[in-house]
Amino acid sequence: MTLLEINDLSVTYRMDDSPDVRAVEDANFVVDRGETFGLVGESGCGKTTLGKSILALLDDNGEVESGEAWFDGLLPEWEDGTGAATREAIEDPDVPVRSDGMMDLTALTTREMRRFRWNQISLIPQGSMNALNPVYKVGDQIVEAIRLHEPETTEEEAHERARELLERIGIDRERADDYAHEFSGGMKQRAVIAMAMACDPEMVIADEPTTALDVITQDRVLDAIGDMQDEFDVSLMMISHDISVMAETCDRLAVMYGGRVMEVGTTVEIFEDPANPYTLGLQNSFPSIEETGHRLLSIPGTPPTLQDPDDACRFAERCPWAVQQCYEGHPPNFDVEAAKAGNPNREADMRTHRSACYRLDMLETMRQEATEEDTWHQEPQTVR
Amino acid sequence: MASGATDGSLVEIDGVSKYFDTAVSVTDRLFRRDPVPVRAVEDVSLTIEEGDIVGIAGESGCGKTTLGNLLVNLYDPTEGTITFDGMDITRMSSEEESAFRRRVQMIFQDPFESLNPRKTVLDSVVEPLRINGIGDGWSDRRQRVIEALEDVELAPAERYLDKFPGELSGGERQRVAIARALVINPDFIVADEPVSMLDVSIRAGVLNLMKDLQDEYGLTYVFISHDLSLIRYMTEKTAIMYLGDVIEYGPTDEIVESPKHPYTQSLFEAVPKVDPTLDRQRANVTGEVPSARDPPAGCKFHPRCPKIIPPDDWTGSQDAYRRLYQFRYSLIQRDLGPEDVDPDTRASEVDQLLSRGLVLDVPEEHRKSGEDLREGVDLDAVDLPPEAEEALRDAARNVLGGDYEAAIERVDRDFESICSSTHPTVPTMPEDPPACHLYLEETAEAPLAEQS
Repeated sequence: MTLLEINDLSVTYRMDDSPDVRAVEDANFVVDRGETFGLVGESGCGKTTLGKSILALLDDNGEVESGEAWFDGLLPEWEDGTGAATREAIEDPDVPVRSDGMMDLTALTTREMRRFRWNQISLIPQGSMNALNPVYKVGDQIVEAIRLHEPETTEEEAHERARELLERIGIDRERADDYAHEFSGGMKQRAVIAMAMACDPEMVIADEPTTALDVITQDRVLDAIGDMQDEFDVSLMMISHDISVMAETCDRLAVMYGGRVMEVGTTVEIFEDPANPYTLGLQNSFPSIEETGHRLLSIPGTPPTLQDPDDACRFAERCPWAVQQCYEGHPPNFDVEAAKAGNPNREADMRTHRSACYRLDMLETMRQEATEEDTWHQEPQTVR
Repeated sequence: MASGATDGSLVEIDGVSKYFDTAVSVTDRLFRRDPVPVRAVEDVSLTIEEGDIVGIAGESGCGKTTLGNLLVNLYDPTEGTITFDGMDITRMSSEEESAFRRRVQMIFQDPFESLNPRKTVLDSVVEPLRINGIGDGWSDRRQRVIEALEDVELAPAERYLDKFPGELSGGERQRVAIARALVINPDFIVADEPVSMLDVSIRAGVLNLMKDLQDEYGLTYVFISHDLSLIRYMTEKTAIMYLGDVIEYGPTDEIVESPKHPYTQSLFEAVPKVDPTLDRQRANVTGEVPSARDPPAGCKFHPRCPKIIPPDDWTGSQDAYRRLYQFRYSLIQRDLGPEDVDPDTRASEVDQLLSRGLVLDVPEEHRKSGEDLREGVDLDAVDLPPEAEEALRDAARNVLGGDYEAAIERVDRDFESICSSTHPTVPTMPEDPPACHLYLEETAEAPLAEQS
């Protein structure tokens, strides 16, 4: 069941003296209830911007240019089939509400959004796994999160809830009165998770939760995140550049490049049946602990600048299979199976394996050629 | 492979330690105590052969970067010696030092920081030539720079010469940093996390380049990384470090495919697998890395080790012994005490301490059913031999009375492990066994016998 539906979402950063940065363009995918959905890509691909735009946490110069982020499940009583209750619950009449009760997060006012954030979707920001304030009691920090987002909660109730949260995530409730510096690293990470769960959200967005952590610590954080999902039955949007972490944690993935979603599918589809030239390139470019011998392939060139980009497919410049059509416009997300059979379908179902590429009819050839170094180095790299 | 020389060691690290913060600080003076140094690298002995690509791997704080800096003489060792091609680099004359600088180069993690943003590529790369007095005038040096840039695939080089780092991509910058290291034609390069700042699609190019240049320049590399997949891709031999010790050293393939030291095994268990259909077990390690100011006695990994060795006459399970030792370590750390006892519970205070102290902080799949950090573990589920349980109860009573020393002594009297009493012999050659008593027990007997 759909929890979040990102529909043709575009995000732009305004620059003072230079052209706008088109950080995310026409993203579309769905996240189901209870699902772990991954946004994977290199730095600057737009994954963090996309995550922040859902919660209206963009920097001041960033704005959602077009598209919607439809979200379900605000409150159970709002799901009456007409959207009327949702309409009523939201004070602002300008917020679009669909007949299925989903509403557009990007249209919420700052006030509405503040109420919504944490209650419905919470964020584990980048670097926060080590970011508890050492001079406050851990319980107080969770209480603060609760009271900020649910002002009607009493101090006492909030304290009790904080203790309960710690317990549910595997920390002795009495430790709520400890200072963060008295916590071990693993307990701090669990406390950060407890804080994200403070208002019982439907979805958590975790931005690079394991980046810069050591491998055994990372293992423990992934364990804690897994526990969180089991315990709270929450959807998770993971944002990471780490392909192997994503392979292990996510049910479905969106591969982003240059502000565009290049490929979406189940994790198994993306890894075993990759269908986009960029994904194919990535797959041969990082070493695996199990494999030896085969030489890694680099993708020549660098990711495109997103300041006033041209209309071409974002990857065309680095793509060995680019043809004239690729330079005329960025491809929509085609249904992979249909396109392979020669029937590219622009209105592909959101849950099918989709890829933004005009050349899916020759996917098998691309897959074969992608493993050969010569394919990627046809022309010498030039400096622009 | 090697540049004409016969087989032999290029770098000999002999009993090297590096301690930081050894000076007496204000707070030390205030509390009239001795300074507690950070033991970043401790008693490391390694031999690096000419033409080797040696990886140094381990988690942050294990001492790998410090060891790298010692190798290029950025630090003086607190103890021990490092010889490079027969020359003791800790006692070099200034001529020897400049000869050393011409032969040894370092590539740093962050190309954004290691290049001066106000210098053009040409100025940056020509600098080592100037400093080391290499090259015959300006045009010869410029030519050498161009060759180095082309070697790192920044071609045509002329287009890069006048660019500033800010005008280059991350990958290009790291190539410039590599060109800067190569331009003086060194014999030995220490690369510290050289690609960790680079994006995946660009990384492979830099890695392949470093591999290719090894042949071309006859280089010996030390490749420092926390990323075990990169270590596997890049290196032939690997040293694994933990809390300043080299705990395992050997051919990379062997270490990856059949790691021997329990810590190495845990490290590899914790690496996520790229195959989404695989179900991986989480690493069975207890707790977290202790402070390098106060590392555990004996094998520094013993408080976390899933394979800690019981005394010969232990009759319980290894799991029970591991828990007993966890209890002991909590006493040493003063992590367990009267504050962990809830007077309102029906269980006796001693039972409560035992239940808490025998808990293992491990991922859920390795816990006993119902076990958790807050509730403790069911004592009946731990098959402690009666005499061990008796010792633990005595120790718990000591703790409740505030006497930790007596408590630890009580446990140690009959149940001390070789893992905490004796520091295992560390490997210095790739064929040496790992620094673990599981592999050393038999060989350890021999030298003892010889001595008597």
